[in-house]
Amino acid sequence: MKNKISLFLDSGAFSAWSKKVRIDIQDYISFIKEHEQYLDIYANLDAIGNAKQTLENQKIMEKAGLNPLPCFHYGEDIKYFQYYLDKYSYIALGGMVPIMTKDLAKWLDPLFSNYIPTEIKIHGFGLTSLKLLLRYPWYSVDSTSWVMTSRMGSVYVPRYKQGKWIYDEDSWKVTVSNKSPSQKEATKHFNTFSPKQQEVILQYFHDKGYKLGKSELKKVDENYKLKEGERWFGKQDADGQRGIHGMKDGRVTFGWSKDKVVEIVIESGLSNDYKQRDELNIIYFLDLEKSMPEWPWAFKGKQVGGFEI
Amino acid sequence: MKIILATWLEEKSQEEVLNKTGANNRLLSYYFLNKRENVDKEIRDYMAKRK
Repeated sequence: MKNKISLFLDSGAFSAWSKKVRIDIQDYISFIKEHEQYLDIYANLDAIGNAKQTLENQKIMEKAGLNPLPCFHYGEDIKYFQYYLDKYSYIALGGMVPIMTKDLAKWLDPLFSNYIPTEIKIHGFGLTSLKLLLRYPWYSVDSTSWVMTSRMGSVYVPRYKQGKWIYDEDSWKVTVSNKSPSQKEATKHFNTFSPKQQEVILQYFHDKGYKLGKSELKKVDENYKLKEGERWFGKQDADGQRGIHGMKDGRVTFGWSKDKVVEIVIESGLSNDYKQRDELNIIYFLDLEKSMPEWPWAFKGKQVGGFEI
Repeated sequence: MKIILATWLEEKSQEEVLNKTGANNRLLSYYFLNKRENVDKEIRDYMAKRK
């Protein structure tokens, strides 16, 4: 038996389309055939803004002996969705990333209440809105938020109520990196939360086995060579200037400097290690998943958790 | 509901964190990237390590 793992392959058609690059369907088919033994699910090659061509691609891939996940997009004619519902037990909904949550709810409410039988599996492509995750009985969703958030220097922190971490209310996105430009945004950086809120955030880090971490910065001259445990701080632009953050009188400061600054990691943690932020964000999503009702469940057409849409 | 973690598989560190957190069975990758040959190589490397 071939060695199979649960790798989900999306065509990336939206990215290609936004870069004005055309994906050749025969290349895509060849790629899947070559790697099929490793793929649990692979999506149809969707034609952005062309439901007819998307369906055509589905048929081409099937004729080639593949079983791609069919994709129906926001704003497309419902007749295509009805076709997929008649033929498939697992269907993806896409084209949702640029659409506002309220507008998506207007589209998704009738789909889930009037068209989708409870036993049909629905995948939501690029779904990041917690409100939408909680509102509909998705079988699966995907999101890049865990890594995007981490690379912006932030981590998800759930709310804490009556001695428990709560996942059905909007979490905090706490910026912990000492390099992130979002330190300028007063309500987001760890340092800008109230002492009580900071206590809750640190408790969450502790509960999950992580530390905030601590670094020291020092200015060095042009010819300085890094020692063990040191690294360059701030990204250098084309003019040789570095974006530098710091703290002054309890406030976050930011400026550009030609000075070279070295970071000395005193204690490794979320503030100075993006891998730890990746991990904590994955843990957040795994905990969020555990907190959700088990699929299948029927869409009730009303608000779930503490949200209104 | 299963939350699948989408990524670009550009860095080995992502593989490490997925393994460490037990989330390595929930990965989504994209066929189209800036350099397709990189995806190809990354997938091969990723799979080779799992054998």
